[in-house]
Amino acid sequence: MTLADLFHWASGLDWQEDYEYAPLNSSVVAMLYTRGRRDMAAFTAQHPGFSPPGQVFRYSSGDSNLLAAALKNIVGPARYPDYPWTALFEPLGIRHATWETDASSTFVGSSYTYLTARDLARVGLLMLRDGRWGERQLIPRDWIAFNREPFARFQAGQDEAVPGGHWWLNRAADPSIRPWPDAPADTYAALGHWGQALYIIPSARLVIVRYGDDRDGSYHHNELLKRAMAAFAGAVQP
Amino acid sequence: MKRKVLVVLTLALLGALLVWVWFERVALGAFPDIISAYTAKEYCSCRYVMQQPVEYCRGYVKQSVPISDFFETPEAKRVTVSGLGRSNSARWMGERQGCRLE
Repeated sequence: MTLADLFHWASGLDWQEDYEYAPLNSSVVAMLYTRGRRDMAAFTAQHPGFSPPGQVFRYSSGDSNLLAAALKNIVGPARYPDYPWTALFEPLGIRHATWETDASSTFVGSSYTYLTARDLARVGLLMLRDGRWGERQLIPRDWIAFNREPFARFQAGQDEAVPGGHWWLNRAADPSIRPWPDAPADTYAALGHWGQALYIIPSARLVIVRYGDDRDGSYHHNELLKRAMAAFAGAVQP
Repeated sequence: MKRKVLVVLTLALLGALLVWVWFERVALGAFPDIISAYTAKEYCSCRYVMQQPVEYCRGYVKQSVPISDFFETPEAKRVTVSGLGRSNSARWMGERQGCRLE
């Protein structure tokens, strides 16, 4: 299994992402609140496989937490606890950020980062600028390109948007797939639980942060993007 | 005759239920913890990380399964919740670390 497989949510692990509707067999509920909460990455790794890695997309919060645990090995346990701050938040001028961990001190990569809307927009602006912040190339351009490259084996209908490298895209390898038809094809997003969203539209030079608490399914990304495009695209940028 | 069929049917259903309980024993054992752990953790983060008002956070964590007891220690930034016969606590660890189940 490679890091790219995990970034594509294609670990091949037999994970069940259902939340409220099937709590008994939900892998994510067990990971966050019961059997997995002490070591979420280890809990994820205990799942059997259903396919070889890299072959099939299946959204998994567990894959994000395997990445969070892999980061501990990559940067080392001494740098790890402060790494999100030293590598990202502080250079971006984000002064108040919370990133909760499990009992093994591994960041809960799937679920528990807290930023103000304005600070999340800084992350969006960093992406819009291809990883550049001021005079610094904070994230390599190739990395952003990987984030925005659709996972080639994604099939229509597997999710509401197209998986890239841990970002959601409005385009796929198959040009007929367009999750948000009223937004430009280069739109991509970080999408969270109950309607949290960070949208980036490079062709319109737009970054949109939307926080919410939508539990009734009435919120639609395409509708917001359509209205935002009508209101802001083409307007004079400050 | 009819009664015999009913007995056999009941025993078959009971058998199937026991097999299901056996296969799901790990998930079933952890199941009652969900509501109290969920409520304690998400309420703690709502109050002490997101810094939302008490009323908002009580609504924010409300689920269809009721809880039986809710105990908050604001000085310790600690929340203990009981429900379905289990009890779980979450505590605020600091500005960067936020809340975690104990």
